[in-house]
Amino acid sequence: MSDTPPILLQAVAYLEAQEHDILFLWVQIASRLPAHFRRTDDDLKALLDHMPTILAHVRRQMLEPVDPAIAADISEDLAVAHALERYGQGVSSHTIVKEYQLLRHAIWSTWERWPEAAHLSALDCFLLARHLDFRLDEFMAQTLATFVRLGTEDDGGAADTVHHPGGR
Amino acid sequence: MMVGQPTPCTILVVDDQQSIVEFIEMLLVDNGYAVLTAASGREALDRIRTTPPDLVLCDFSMPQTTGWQVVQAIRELELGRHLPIVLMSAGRTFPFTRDDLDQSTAFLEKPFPIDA
Repeated sequence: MSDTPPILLQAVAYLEAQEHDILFLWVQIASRLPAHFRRTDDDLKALLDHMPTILAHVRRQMLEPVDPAIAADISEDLAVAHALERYGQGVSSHTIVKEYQLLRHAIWSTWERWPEAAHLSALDCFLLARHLDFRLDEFMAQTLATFVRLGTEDDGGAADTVHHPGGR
Repeated sequence: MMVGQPTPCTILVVDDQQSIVEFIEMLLVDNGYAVLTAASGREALDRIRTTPPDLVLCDFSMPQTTGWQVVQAIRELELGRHLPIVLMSAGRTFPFTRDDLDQSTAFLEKPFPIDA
């Protein structure tokens, strides 16, 4: 971690301090996705699911070098647990992707309110984007892989289903 | 409660989305507010009559009774005439202008940051 660019350390520290802000933004938008909007079983716990823990993991891993050749040290159990929960809720793979995109949006929106944001160079912005996108994509890929496997098992070997049969 | 301890400000949160109500409630309680909740306009009016809040935070787009209708119903109550009300809406436009709002009503566009 001694080679971690200072701006990345500062940016991640800011995200940690603004954790509630990020999740609040995410909840406000995600709750309006068709899969979640006005569900009778909608509560905060069901909507958030593992997102707070995923956010914490992404934050920590953003400080590691971005190298596709290095096996991701993501918490596979976490991504799998999240996929299982969402599959049980009947949401689609589209919704899962959208939720991760919204998390990316919530993080960037929060950075835009960071006092240091006005001083970020183009290279700084690229660095932050690269690290964030790499780690979020890892989690998204792992979540989707599990989701597809669950759908395939349910369909007795059929191809990936976009909508879980029990979905809304 | 100890003698001299101030009574916390009570905020009524009205939204048909339970996840939103829970999150806002958590944030307000963490900041020392007492919170009442309601999932509909009718429930909100019942709450106000039984436990008058100091401020109402109300979603604009609710089924059956919109936030705007809730505001108008609250203003017809004796204890609701000057009750501060903040409308929250995810829509980009409201079907009213600032001139339509009385001095005790404001609005917030969702999504809004915690410190809004």
